[in-house]
Amino acid sequence: MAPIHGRYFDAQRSRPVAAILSCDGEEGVRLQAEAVTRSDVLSTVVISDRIGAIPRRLRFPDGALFETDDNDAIDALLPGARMSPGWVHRLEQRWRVVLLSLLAVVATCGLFLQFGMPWLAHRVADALPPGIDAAIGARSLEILDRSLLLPSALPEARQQQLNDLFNRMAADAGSGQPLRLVLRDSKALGANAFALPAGTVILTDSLVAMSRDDEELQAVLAHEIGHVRQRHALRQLLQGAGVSAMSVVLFGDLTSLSALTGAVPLLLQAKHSRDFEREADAFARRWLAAHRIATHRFDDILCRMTIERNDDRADLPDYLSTHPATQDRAACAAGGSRIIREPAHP
Amino acid sequence: MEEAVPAVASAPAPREVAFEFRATGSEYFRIWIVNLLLTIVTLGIYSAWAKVRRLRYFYGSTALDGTSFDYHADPKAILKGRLIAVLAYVVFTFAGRISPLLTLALLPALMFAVPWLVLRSRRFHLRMTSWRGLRFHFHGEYRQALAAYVGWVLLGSLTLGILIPLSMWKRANFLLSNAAYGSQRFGFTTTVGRFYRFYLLGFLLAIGAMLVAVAVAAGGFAALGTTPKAGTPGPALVGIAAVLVPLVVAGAYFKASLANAAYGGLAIGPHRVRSTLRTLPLTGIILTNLLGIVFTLGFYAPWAKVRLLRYQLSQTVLLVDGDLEAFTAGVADDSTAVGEEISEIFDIDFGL
Repeated sequence: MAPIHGRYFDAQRSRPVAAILSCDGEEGVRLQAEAVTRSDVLSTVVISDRIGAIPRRLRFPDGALFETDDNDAIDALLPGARMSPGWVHRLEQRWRVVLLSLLAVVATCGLFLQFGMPWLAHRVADALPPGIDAAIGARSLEILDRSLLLPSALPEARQQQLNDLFNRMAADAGSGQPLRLVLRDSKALGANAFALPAGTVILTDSLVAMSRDDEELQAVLAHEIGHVRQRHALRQLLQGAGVSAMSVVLFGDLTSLSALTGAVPLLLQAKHSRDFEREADAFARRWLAAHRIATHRFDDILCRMTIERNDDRADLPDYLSTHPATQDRAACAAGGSRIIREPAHP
Repeated sequence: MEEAVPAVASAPAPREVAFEFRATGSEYFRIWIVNLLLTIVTLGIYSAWAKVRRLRYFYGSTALDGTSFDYHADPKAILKGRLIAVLAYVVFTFAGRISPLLTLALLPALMFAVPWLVLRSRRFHLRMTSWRGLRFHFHGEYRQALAAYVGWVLLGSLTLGILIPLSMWKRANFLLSNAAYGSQRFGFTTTVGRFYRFYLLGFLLAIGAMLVAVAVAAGGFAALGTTPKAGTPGPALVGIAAVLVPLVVAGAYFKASLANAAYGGLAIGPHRVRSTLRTLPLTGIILTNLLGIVFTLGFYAPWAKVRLLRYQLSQTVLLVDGDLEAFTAGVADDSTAVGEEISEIFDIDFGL
């Protein structure tokens, strides 16, 4: 074997000394430097792994160091793969392996985000006690009442009627968070309904006014009950934590880009939100079917809500929107598209 | 022996020794992607080995006076630290979700934990770094860390920010003057006044950037009011750029000034460091990196990292008085990876 040129450090001082390393018999290495000559048994010398083109280092038992840029020569010194697990380096050197790794990483992340994480979040949510949902949005209603919501202006009798309607629905909507209807007026939110994780469903006066009959309201309420029963808030939270963890694994070493890695979970949150809307839609349709109400009643009112809102969000690309595009969602094609073209009734 | 005492003799101009950075994007990309693959295949276990490999690559690619740096951490120690860190993170996150009160109760504990974590993390990190066979060390103590990361920050906010530059100086001083190479303790020579100067200018720049952002947002809303539909993405992109660019400029100014003031104040025995990062080149690199990452869905990240590091190191020079051969080994202390890993997972930045 040809001698390997490098530098020797004695671990006591920062003075580099030109040195030559060569084989010494079967199992040994011999180092010659300015004023040093040493022989060591190869198995007592720690040889650093090969990484890229960085210098290779041999550490002797007393801490002294031999350093060389001649990576190939060091590899030749190693008898087979006995000393150094150079397999990672060999993987890195093959572009085909690198390309396959890239595909595998993209595919794994994609599949995990699409199926693995939602599935995992669902299972974890199932394992957690129902009380946890209530804790997530404990003060949400209070905050909303102070900012966006006004007391309902509906007559007392109508409010009672709607509450009865809701309570009948809640009675056969399965177990979980206790459900409660809250009637509110809101200029900011318009015709709208939404559910809080604790089981509170909020319905605005404008939506009550927009509905043609109570069956349409039931369709909307069933959708909101779907959110509560399927524990979407908790699952969203769990999925968000999962996505954060994943983006830390992928890009965690890029601290200067942390603002950007923060955006990944946000974008994906919108996607998860759309998935939950679809799930709640399915829940509403099942409920309607089970109660012998035509499922297109849900699509009808959904389309009308979209028109009333003059839906600016319809222009957003799908990946930024928290709700699926209504056309897609309500299958407006048949009955709905007719409604869309109709001028909105006051 | 006249030549034995060159430092005392009439000082010749110090020799400029630049940091060399030999990493390349394509090399790091391959290391990064194989690291990711192995991490995924081993369900995260390999991440500790991946970290060591990544740091060894970057340290080994950074050379000073012909010798590169080295990183020595044992992946098994890092894995242990990581497991403890993940456990702490899960407990803390769920405590917060279940009861905000519990988080409130944990906050004082966290306040006292942060200086400890920074201290342990610095000690471990420097201890695991070497150059020419000698290790670095960190000799800071908990009392100093508590002052730098809690005491002075509290004083800074109590005085409406007037003492913030001073508190940042204290932090830089804590981090740098407690570091050592072998037995040679580092010194920190930057004046507090310099911190006040760049904080003031950075503050004005940040306000300017904020005003631009507000103006653009207001203009955007006005445009929404007049035009019936804002369907095309063109104006939105211009808006994003108009908001983003001034903010990045202000951020780059601050980052460059802090690095120049902090590392530029290092005194290592008779040697000094010069750091000359400039705002506009740094802004250019950050913005193009951002674009590259966005348009490749993140896969440009390895090149982005290498570019940024290359620029930062190219602007860092050691002014050598005499030679770099007289350093001697320091006393080894024991240190574990737990503090560093907890700091990493909680994203506790030591602030330089």
